[in-house]
Amino acid sequence: MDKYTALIHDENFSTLTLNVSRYPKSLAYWEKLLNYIVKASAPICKSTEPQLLKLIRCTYSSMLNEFPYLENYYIDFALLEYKLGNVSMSHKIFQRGLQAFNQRSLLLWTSYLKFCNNVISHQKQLFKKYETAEEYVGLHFFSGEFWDLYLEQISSRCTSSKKYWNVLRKILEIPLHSFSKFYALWLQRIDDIMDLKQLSQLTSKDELLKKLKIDINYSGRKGPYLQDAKKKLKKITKEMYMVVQYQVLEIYSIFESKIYINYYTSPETLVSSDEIETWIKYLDYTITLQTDSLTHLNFQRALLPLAHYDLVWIKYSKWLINSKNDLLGAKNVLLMGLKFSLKKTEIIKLLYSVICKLNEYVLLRDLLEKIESSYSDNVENVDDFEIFWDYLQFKTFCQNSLYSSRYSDSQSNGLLNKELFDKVWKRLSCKEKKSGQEILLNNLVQFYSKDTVEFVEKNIFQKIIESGWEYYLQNGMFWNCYCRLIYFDTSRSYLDKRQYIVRKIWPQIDKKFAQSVLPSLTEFCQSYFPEEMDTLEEMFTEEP
Amino acid sequence: MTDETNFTIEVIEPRADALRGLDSLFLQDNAALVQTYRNMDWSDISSLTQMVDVIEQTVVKYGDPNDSIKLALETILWQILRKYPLLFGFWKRFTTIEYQLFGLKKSIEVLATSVKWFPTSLELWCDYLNVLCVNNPNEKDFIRNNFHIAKDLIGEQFLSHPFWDKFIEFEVRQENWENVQTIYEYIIEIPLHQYARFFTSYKKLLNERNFKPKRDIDTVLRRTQTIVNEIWQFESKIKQPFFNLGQVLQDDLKNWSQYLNFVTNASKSLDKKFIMSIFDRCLIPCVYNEKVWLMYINLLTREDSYEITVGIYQKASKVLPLDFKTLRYDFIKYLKKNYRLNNVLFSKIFNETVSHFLNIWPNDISLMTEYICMWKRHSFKNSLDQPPREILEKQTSFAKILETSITNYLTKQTDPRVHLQTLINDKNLSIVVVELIKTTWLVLKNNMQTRKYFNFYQKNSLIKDSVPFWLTYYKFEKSNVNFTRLNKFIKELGVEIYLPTTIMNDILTDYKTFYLMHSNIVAYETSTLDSNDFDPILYPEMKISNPQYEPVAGVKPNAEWYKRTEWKEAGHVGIMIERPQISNSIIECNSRNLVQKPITLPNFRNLEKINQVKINDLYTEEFLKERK
Repeated sequence: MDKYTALIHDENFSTLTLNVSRYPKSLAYWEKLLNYIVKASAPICKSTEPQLLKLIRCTYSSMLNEFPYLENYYIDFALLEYKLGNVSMSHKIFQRGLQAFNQRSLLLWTSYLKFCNNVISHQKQLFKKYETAEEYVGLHFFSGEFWDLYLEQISSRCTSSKKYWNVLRKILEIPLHSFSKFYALWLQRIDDIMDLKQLSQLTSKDELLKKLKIDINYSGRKGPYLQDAKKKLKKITKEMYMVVQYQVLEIYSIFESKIYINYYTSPETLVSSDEIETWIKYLDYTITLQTDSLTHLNFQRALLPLAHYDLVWIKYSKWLINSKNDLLGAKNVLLMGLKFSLKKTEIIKLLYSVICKLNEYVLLRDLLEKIESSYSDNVENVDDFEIFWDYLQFKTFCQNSLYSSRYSDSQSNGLLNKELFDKVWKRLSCKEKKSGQEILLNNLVQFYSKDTVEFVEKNIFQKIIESGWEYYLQNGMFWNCYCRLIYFDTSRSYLDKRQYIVRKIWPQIDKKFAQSVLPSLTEFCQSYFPEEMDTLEEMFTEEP
Repeated sequence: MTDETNFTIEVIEPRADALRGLDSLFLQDNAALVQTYRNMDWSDISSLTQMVDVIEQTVVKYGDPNDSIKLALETILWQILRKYPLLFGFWKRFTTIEYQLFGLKKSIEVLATSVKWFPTSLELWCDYLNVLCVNNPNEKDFIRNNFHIAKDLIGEQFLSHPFWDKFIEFEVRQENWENVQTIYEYIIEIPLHQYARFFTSYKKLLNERNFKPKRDIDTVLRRTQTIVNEIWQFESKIKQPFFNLGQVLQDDLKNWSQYLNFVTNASKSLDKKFIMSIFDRCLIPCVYNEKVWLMYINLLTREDSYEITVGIYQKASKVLPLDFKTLRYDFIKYLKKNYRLNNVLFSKIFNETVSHFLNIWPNDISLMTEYICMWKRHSFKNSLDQPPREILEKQTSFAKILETSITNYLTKQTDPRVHLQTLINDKNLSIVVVELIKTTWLVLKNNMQTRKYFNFYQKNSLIKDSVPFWLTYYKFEKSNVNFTRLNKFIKELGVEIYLPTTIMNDILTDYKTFYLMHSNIVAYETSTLDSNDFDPILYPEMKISNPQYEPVAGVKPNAEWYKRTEWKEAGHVGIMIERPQISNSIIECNSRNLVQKPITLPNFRNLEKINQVKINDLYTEEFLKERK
């Protein structure tokens, strides 16, 4: 029996696969499964059965589909392919990984570049990779390793030292955790200079002359003059060192030293609130530095441990909107956040608005439908009122747009559309079992035309009274809303509405609810017609 | 003697500076007096005592000083006692001083005043009645009358036996035996400390005079005895029965609270007058304790007529320190609730109370809301049974008076005859304006005029930041579904209209909802067509908790950015640091572009300040730790 057949008939294997298909969001089950397969197929090499290899590939691939932020598994996977001789597959896997991080993963880049060092011989192609990596992760606080690799490749592949000088010179300015190492390299290099002419590698002649009073074409005795020039260069290096050291210390002591998790954890892992707080402050700090590539990078870094929290996603998209006016970027961040974050309410709320601003109404409708279908077409049953409430608002907005231009019949319009209105009614009929009923009522009375007021009165207030739902009938807010619905009806005269409220609405209130209803009604009465206070009190208080 | 010396504490506000107008020679000679007066610490009893000491010394020194000196000394004492009428020792000393300065008549007057200002003082009443009996023995009716007044005020106090002794002695001297018996009949029911003594002497009286007791006094005795035994556990623990400045002892407070709970317990069914006398006594040392007052009122509202309750409310709102709000708001609620019992009286008391509260809390705008509500309810009474024309006339005249009052206030020509106008101040003006606008809009239904008012008053600096004003405006434009104006309003929030952030957040949230419910895609696109930075859906969302939010269209980092507070405070809000920086940094330049032209040497900013900035150097610390 070959290994593959043995494996798939293995009882443990079937338990593990069952677990994974039953709980696809549990990282632990995936890891167990993968480890089991890898162990069973060891040693993996070119001669391993193709079916088994396929199984391994599929497992990796599916796992990474479920958890796109698992940096290490991309690397494992890619190196496995490399081992099997599939270089182009390795490239693809690395690139797929980088894609998941918008190119901003230091770990993936360093592994990828190490891999490229071995497989790409074309110098220009290789450096292109480095330059891309530099663009995305070059400012990472821990990117020292990347820069080491880069410098190593330059010195081994380039004949001219120009590029080395330039790159090193740039590194000096970046606040890196391992900044001092590069200063040592730099100073070493300066010491190694034998000829005055070589100084032109560092900067332009003019600069040297103007700022450091060094003349490359000095015609006197060059030995001591060069020594003197080196001293001057070291002085300016020291100054640069002081500045960068200051920056590094600041970043390290306020933020980096308080961040312990720099890798992806499963959705079940909780991150300490201190650490979350530190990230938020770190991001605020980064934003004020106004170095965009660093801001993007740090947001991506924060998303690694905090992918399942909504806050970084929201902060990221708000930064894109506020400072970059990048609505598309914000939309993409939010869509991604929607996949990762466990709490989705706030993300959806913002996403709706961003989509509207982008005028992508088709997407808006799609999103609304998705929300609707993810609650099996009963979005009104959701426990989180906000989800329902946002859904209702944007759905109404869409609904308004459908009919407003073609029909004047306001009852097919917006919220009063039968389908939507049914949802509202169903939600209200949940009474105390669902939250947000008061907010709903409060907004339902904000219609001011005659038709809508009549409709709401008949289909909400009267219907609730007829149904005898005590939850509402003993709630002062309900009656307060009812009074306001009538009082703000622009088509009624003052006396008309006062009469209606005092003689039609108030008598419908059951005296046994007087205690709970009175405060809210008194408030209404005080604000709009204190003259009726006596009537109100006579109706609802026993004679003292 | 000038008329001024004849003032009494009630009618004339004591002069602010008692020493004003005194002879400069006198002031020089009496430096101690001047100094003590000037440095007097009103919250320190020893400082006040020292003041009285010095006054006494001055009186001794001069014997019969001139009128202005007398007046000055008298004024100082009035000032102290007006602020602290419960300092009975000071009243006594004042009486003596007054006697030395002006003679007997005025000193008796001081005592008469003292029992008016401190009516629950047993000592002062005893002194007063004593003086009356000794000096005016012939004015029997007057004296008897005062004994009766005192009886109601202090007769139930546990230690009031000296008073009763005096009263009995007075009637005995008149040989008015019937009255004597009435007094004894009264006393035996009161749980007095010396109840037994009074029983004995009453029995003796009955024997001597051969009177018949009006009931079985032994039963009464047993009852009284039981009560005295019960309350003894509390009475014996009272350490400080008198008023003093500073905190009341914790033990005393606890004891009082237990005592009060005990006597107010309905199952004890104690005599109401007796219970009240315990409250009265407790409120001497605990006069600044709101809880005791509230307990007292709670007891009274249970069964008593409103006159007594209102009286206690009024007294408490006068004496309690100004930052106690519960009882005072409670009073307003009480007045509103009982308005229908006697609307003329209650409306009058309500007005007085609001005036008083506005005096002490001029910043409390809710008082104006309460006032306007009561005012409209009382003075513009109208009912749906009246003909519509009459109702609308009332409403119109209400609006007119509001408008006149506002105009008068703004032109500084307030009419003291109109009560409303005396109440308006800078803080609550907006409430009156809002009421005017609400009436015009919702009652008189005059939209044109309403908008005119909004436009006119929003320019006024007193109204500009008013929350009720802007909320009303927001409601008004919402009811007109006027998106142009609403958008403008939302845009100006936080930029030109400053409201508290929580209020602004509520408005922004509500507006987004309102817009979505009442607008549509076509209208939305048209409205955002000409302004890229504002839109009624995303904009309010982004502005929440960020009132100065301004959308920026692809801005480049400001060259002057490093001068901004945000930059200096980055990482440590509140601490500004001139952090060092490379001003021509190349970190954002990719290495592929670095080859194109030579890199310039670094320029620095704030390099010289690097040593001024202290940062906890965790980096090196941890590095060294690892090395070890």
